[in-house]
Amino acid sequence: MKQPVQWRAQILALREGSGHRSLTLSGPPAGFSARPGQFVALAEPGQHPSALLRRTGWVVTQDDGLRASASLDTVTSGRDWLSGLGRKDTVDVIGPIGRPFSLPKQPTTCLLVGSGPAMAALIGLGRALVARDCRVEFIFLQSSDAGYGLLDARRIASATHVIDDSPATTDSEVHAALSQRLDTSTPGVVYSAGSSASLRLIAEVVTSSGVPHQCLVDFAVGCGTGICAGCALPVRGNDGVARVVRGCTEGAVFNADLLQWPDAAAGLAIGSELA
Amino acid sequence: MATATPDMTTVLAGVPLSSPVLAAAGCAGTGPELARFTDMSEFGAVVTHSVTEFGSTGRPMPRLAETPAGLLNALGLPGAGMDHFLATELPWLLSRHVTPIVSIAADTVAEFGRLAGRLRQAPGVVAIEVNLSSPVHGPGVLPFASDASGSAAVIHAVRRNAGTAMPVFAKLSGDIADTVSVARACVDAGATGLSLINAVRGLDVDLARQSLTLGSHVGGLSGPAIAPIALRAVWEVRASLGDVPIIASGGIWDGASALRMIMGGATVVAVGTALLQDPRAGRRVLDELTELLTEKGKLPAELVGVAHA
Ligand SMILES: Cc1cc2nc3c(=O)[nH]c(=O)nc-3n(C[C@H](O)[C@H](O)[C@H](O)COP(=O)(O)O)c2cc1C
Ligand code: FES
Repeated sequence: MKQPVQWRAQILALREGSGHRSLTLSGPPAGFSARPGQFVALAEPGQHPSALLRRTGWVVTQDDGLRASASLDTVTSGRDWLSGLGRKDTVDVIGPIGRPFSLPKQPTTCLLVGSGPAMAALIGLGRALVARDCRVEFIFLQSSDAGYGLLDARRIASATHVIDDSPATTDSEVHAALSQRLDTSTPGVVYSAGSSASLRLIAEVVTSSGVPHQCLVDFAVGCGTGICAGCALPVRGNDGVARVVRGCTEGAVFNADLLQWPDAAAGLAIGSELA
Repeated sequence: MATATPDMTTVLAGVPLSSPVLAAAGCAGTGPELARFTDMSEFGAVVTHSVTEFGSTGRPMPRLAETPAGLLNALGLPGAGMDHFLATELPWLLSRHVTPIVSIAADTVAEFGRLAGRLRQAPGVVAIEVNLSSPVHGPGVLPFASDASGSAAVIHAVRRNAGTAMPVFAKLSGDIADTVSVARACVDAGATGLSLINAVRGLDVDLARQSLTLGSHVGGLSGPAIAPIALRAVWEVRASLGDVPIIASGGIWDGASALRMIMGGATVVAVGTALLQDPRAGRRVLDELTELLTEKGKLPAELVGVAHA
């Protein structure tokens, strides 16, 4: 089946968290298959939507064993129409979108670090890694114990740590705590997810350690289908040339070494996706 | 008794189209993106994103902001330039049986002329849409469309370089105080028709960051919020310039909003922002418009401008 696909889903279950909602959606069509790091783009169905853009839903799990009842658990930022949704309401779904994380060929220790609703993608990834006999450790960068995914992570991981990322802490404190964790855990690979501000901080620490690092940039999707160019991100290609690419179709997972942080966007060559 | 479905084929400035529902400039990506969800050949024509001479990465992020009933965008016409368009994007569109209307944008009259010259011999191009309404290297630069003589100079250069046979549409913004005089200046300078309207300038503030939402501050407002502004522009131009061909865009979201534009004087309608929210919106608008015309027992052309009677 050609992916991505578009379908009308019913909300089967709904969970509230701080700053996000977790939705379980009905009916991914047979053949729908999302890999860790991919997302779905959600829209208000019907002819006269109040929200004109789609919303990013990071895929946590996909139960593809049972036909129409296959469920998809997604987390979104929970603004406007999404926050008004209840059980049995419908949403228009497009997915899966974007490039997934690549998984290590051999079992190794994996450090999964990040914050916010995009942690959903790391939960899905954590499950896949454990299934491949990897040792999984999570680091949550957050200010309380209430962020998305902490409970799930504790069920999956060999160890779960929380680094205080509240406004009371400085970048160098977070830096130091991350470095220390990296030294103790000696991961073979680091996976991260979150806003570009927190990814940048993580990348600074990981890059100096030389450990391979893939990061998922949490961004607000516009169309989610690659047509609007509203999700531009600057990256350096394997040829060394910096380009602007579409976060939705060329991301949201990047090799952290190739990501140019957003303020570097001006004056770059055009990316393959935009071209 | 079942009424027969009307023949939706439409003629725009002498060009036969399979239907009066088009994709608006920049709202179908470069083609392949939208084609994953919908059959692109179902659009009467696809207006391409505005092609510039050498390409541009576009403006800084954030580039989009959602507002009540509207979308603000400050994309800055991202694209790879005319060489790439002719070598890659246009052949792809033609291979999928898409009827292409090519939009061009530039900062100077001479550049507009050169771009039009490149399209003169390009295979399959049925018309040129001249984007007079978004400065390529804004913000701060006023678009050509805010001034009748500037617009006329551009259209004159495009007409000279595109040749007499090529239909040329001048795309105006919804912001200009006197749409009719700019539209008339464009027609006098050689435009075959008008494309009304481009997005309307607007601003948004991000409450959490306490700063402007868009990376380049001012953006263009599109979507249902601007439908009455677009309809007003179409109606005024039709009232003053008679049956000049008009491509209408601005908040077309369903069959009813499409039919309003036609009754106001549009020959065809172009679906824009709706395609971002739902990549199948073009097909839906066409189906709903067909249904409305079936109910009325009319052909699309029979209803163009009837609201003026
Ligand atoms: C994402 C996006 C990209 C656009 N790109 C272009 C463009 O390249 N050239 C142009 O003339 N208009 C462009 N427009 C304007 C549309 O073609 C259309 O005229 C306008 O958005 C009003 O229609 P709508 O309300 O249906 O979107 C763009 C609009 C959007 C939302
Ligand atoms: S969100 Fe529209 S192109 Fe990526």
